[in-house]
Amino acid sequence: MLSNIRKGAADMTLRRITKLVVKLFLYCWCIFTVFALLWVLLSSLKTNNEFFSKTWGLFKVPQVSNYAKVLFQYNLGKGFINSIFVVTLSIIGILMVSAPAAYILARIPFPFRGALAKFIILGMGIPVQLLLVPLFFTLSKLKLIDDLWGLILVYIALSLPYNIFLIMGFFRSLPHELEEAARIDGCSMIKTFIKIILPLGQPALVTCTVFLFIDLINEFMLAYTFISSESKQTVSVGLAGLQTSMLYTGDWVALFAGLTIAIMPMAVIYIFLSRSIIEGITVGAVKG
Amino acid sequence: MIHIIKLSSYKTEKAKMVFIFMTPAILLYLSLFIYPTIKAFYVSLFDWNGFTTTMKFIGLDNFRELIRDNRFWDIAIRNTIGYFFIGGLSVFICAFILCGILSTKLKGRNLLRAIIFFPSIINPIAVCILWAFIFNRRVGLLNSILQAIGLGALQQTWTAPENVFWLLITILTWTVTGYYCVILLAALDRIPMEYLESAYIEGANEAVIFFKIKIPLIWDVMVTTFIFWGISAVKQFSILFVWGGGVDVPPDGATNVAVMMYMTAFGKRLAINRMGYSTAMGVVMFLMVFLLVGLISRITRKDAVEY
Repeated sequence: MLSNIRKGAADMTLRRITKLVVKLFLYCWCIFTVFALLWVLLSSLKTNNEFFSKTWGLFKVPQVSNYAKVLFQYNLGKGFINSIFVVTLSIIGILMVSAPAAYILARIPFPFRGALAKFIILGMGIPVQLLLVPLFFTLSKLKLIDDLWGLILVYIALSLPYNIFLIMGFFRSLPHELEEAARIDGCSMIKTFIKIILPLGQPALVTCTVFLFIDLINEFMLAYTFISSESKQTVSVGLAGLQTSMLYTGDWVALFAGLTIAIMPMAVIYIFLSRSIIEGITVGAVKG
Repeated sequence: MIHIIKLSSYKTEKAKMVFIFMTPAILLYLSLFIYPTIKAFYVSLFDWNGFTTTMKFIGLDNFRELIRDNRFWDIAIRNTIGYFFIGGLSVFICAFILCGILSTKLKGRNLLRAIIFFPSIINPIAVCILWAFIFNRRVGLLNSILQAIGLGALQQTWTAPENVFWLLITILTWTVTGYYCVILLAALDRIPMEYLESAYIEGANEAVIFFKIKIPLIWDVMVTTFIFWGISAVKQFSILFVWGGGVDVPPDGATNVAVMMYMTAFGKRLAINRMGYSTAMGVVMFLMVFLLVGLISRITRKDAVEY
């Protein structure tokens, strides 16, 4: 009896200790992440001298000029503009192509519909790398290599399977009576799609937009392979180039300014959209 | 009669609509996705440097060469499998610990979850540069922290070539754990309270509840996350390729099949320009993804608990 109580007490302490250790792990993880990001921000405002002499110290005067340098002299600003251009047009293109297709595949029966849907979704399992060499030469043939429009086309095509899959799932969940009711009211099919389905599908389209934005602005391999001139680089490629050139110029604080510029917009978007981002991620995996 | 006319006009309208709505997607998908996929299998049978218009058909020679290529096996394949297994272990152990504690009542839970998740949406190149500085011998965060907490003796050149693989595992873990953690957490949150109440009333241990009740209930979601990881682990490229200062020859520890195939086709410092051979590696990657997904779904097959 007594030993049982003792065992129970030992269990209790063990439990507490485990919980404490796990909590500590969680807090360390978070503190480290925040700390590392703050370190980037702080370092981006130092002079190179300050950066090298005291890792922990603060700057005397915030060196905003680091930002000007990295944006204009090292051309990361141009990279940003290119990225925004490519990403915006790609997203518009992807939504314009995949929303109608997803609608048909989800709600309008026609012969071989299921097979066609499967065939398109199949693309989700194909690693991009397999397509790298053939795409490079296809784009060359179309004179779209080293051209942002070529990159946009590739982004649209490669994003189709996942986005069609996602939007299709959402359209399927809408009530079945929508089309019938619209038809009885004399609404044409195209009008039904534009006036009824699209507005109802807004949450899915917003999710797609957010994810495409994150994925495409962070995309590196295709942009690095298909774009060669510096004036057309995207922000990821520009950042990688910046790192290489820093090995020679040693202007590290400017690199930190570049990092901040790359991370900041994501942080801002995340602060406003973290809820829908997290929901969007879990929709695909959890609801299945 | 009127009814029939309406019906047939409905049918033509429907056919028109299917055609108009599907055509752009199908054309794009066929021309820039399926055609290159088929072309990849075709190119892998040729010896071709990309500059000439003549491609020399060599059958399966590229694959025969791959089988004998020591660098391919000892470095690329080994690292790809290493990133998948060791990286997967590290990512999922961390994700489980983190979502395990986050799924209990905890102050500031949403903020902590947001912080853990954030690295997964940072530009991978930025992640890579950030960590190169964290591990930097002279000015790095890690060595300074060690110095500050009196463990200066542990300071070392973290970025030495023999450490690269492990550093990259660390970086990948920091980057993607949040993503899986969020998915698992959402699944945990969906478990109805009634399932747990009786266990809590009986005084069951949190850990027991987590492993014996919660995990079986979210098993199907876990399998999905394993498959996601399998696909993304094989495709891992940006962080590995850019590691080491963006120089065009990544260190061995950072060379997986994706990086090696890139270098073989498009490497700049080391111009090999063997398009056929490179694409053969792409075919291997394709097979690896399918094999891994098949393997994961087979190993983890278990009746999902319905609730």
